[in-house]
Amino acid sequence: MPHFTLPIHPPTNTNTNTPLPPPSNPYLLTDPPFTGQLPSSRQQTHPGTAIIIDNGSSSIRAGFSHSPTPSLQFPPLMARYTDRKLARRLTFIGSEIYFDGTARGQSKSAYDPPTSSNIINNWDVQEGCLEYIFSKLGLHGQNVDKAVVMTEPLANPAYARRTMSELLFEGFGVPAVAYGIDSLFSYDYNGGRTGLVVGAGYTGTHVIPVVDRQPLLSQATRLDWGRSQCVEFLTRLLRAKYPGLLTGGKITETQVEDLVREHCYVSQDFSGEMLSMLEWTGLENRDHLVQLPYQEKEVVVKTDEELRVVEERKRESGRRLQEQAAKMRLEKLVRKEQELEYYRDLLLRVQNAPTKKSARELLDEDEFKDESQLDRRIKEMEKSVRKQRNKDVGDLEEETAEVHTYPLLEIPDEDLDEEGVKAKRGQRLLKANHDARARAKAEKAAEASRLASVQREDDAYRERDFEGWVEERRAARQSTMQRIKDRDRFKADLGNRKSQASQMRMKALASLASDNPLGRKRRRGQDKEDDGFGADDGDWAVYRDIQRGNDEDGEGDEEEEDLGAVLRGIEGELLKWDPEFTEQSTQEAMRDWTKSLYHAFAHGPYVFDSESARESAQLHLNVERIRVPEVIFQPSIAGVDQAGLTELVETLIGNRMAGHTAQGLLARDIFVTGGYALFKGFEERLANELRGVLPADAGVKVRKARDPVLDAWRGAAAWAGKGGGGGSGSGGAFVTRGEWMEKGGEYLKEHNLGNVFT
Amino acid sequence: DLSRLVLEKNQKAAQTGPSVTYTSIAAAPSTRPKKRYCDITGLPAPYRDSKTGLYYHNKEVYAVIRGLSTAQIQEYLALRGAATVLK
Repeated sequence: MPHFTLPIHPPTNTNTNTPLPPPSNPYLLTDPPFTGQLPSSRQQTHPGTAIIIDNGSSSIRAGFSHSPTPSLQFPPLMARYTDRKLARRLTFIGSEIYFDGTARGQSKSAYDPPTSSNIINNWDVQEGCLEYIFSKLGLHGQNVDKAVVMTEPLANPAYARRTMSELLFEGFGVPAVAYGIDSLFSYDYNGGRTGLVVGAGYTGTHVIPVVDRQPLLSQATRLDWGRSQCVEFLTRLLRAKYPGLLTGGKITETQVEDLVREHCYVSQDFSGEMLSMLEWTGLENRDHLVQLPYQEKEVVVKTDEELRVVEERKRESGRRLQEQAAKMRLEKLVRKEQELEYYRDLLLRVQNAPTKKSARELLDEDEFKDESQLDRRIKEMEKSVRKQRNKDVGDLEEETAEVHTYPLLEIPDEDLDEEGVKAKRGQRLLKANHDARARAKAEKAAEASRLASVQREDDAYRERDFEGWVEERRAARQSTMQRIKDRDRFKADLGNRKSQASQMRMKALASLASDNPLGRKRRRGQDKEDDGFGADDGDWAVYRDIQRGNDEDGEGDEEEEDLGAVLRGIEGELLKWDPEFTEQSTQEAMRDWTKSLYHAFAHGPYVFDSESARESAQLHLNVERIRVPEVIFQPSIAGVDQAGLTELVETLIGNRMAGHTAQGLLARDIFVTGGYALFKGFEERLANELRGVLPADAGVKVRKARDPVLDAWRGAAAWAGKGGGGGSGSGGAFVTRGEWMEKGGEYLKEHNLGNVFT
Repeated sequence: DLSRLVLEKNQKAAQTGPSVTYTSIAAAPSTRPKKRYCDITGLPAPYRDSKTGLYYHNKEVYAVIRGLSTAQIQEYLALRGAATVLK
């Protein structure tokens, strides 16, 4: 009967994540946006031309109303200071502040705080910018004779408008001024009639419903999130992710802004994309590596020649030192021998002295008490001379092993005289010394033999019962790992003030220090002083408990056993003998960095060497690319306590416009303008989300302005060209100087593309 | 929050003053439930560390959280506006 066998393929090891080589061209940080001086134009104008100024928080765009694009675009920054060297007052406006470091440090923004407010606060800067505009457009600073159209934020406070009008009329002599809202200008320019305008600006996002060309400003709302808040958010994220990398001004704000512009995009499915963002496959495409400037550490590599020369020199000096030392020793030896000769001679003379007195005198000269001392001295010197001779010159025979005898120890004290007693004491000391040394040697030998026997036993056990031995080793390994973990946890616990371990320690300390350690009531018949601490050896173990063990210089590790070494020893044995225990299962392999989520998060799929200066100065943008622009849809990500864009639109159309005739028409034309719309995928994301929450017959259609950045200016220019909200003849919505002076600073002519009077 | 919205609406109906001011334009807080994301990595976070209050994605991130200093913990919490501010 035929039977079929299918080949069984061993499962390909899909677990290994191969680390990748670093990318060939990492992204770099941008230079400061200094674009050089903006051109000044002398253009032909006719009396009806107006100057259009789009006063945005990211940049001011200004030009004549007949130009197709604004001739001036610069950020609302100004630096004014007195230069010491030139002794002149210098003023820098816009991008020109990046020309000089001092200017950069002194620069101020027209808005305060510059990253979250769109109301002008610093009127000096505003005045400087206006001067700059008028002079670049070729007009007299004091007597501008063209009407000005300016944009202002939605629901601009009255005092801001008043101060702006005052600046224009009084400061620059402008004949007429009109104000409008930039996103509405853009909507009008793009042919909008009824719909929802989403003006996603630099410091905030406005949502304004427009019905039949009339904006319903009472239903408009503003979400405080724009590109400037994105920049701040990304800076804080990077600072938390790479501590130490952003300190010291290594990355400036404009560079982070360019990072946001270049790398961030709006994801279509945030949660789903997030989950797969840090997976290994394809991580090199999602992770953008930004290389910061770094300084390579100096590694002086000596050539082979140099190394050889250095070695030679070292050897030479070593040899020279050795020769010198040998010479000195020889000299000392000779001197000693001479001394020995002299003492021998002295001994002879003493022995041959005629009288006792003269002998005494001779001895006293050299400070010897009596003959026996001299004798002893001679013997010592002979021994040392012989030893040294042996070491250096080696011409004497080996020293015979001296058999130490202690004859005097046998004789009891009474039989000896004073000298004899002293000699006996000396001999007893010598004997004790020798005995101790012999004991130590014996102990060492015993220890070594014991270890050898243990090892032999272990080998025998292994040969006998392999399985059992392996099991025992594995259990030992587990227990060691557990001990390591417990020790680490205990140490961490001690560091925390409130943990159980710390409290126990405190209790132990307090009871040790207190006067009544055994309890509140004093036991009858027991004194305060004597509580018996220390008599028992186990009592001293309490010091080990109360010692906190934060090891400075690793002292603590020496006391406890080095569990790491024990673990490695056991693993070595297992590797050698156990067939199943492979490199994979060792502790080292388990800490594989390619499987670590945090490594993919902080360093991408590339090897990270913390010593390398180049790799320490790298940023990896993977999760931040979608996390930062997502905040406009989920402001709780960044802690902004407002509803997201989708929810705002939904409540506007669903609740606030309920009962309005145009409620069903609003969603048909959702118009997105402003710099935030430049993020890839913004309109699709908004459309998909709204389609999910709005009723099915709403007909959601989201469109982007043709040029989200400049269309506001163009819209204002077109509006001014058409007479500014009125027919030719009437001034339209322009407030002339006379009207302003007569009717008050806050006088405003409302029109369908501007604010209402409050 | 709901009470604030209600109060504002009543106030708006009662008063005859300006209906559009800079502060009245500001968006109201959200009424939808918030999704939680890991404070360290940004991935969706099913878990929350009771000691520090940080949301985390898996046990590996939890090990990282355990090793953070107090300053770093407060920095992460400040990112989503949950840091303790002592006045």
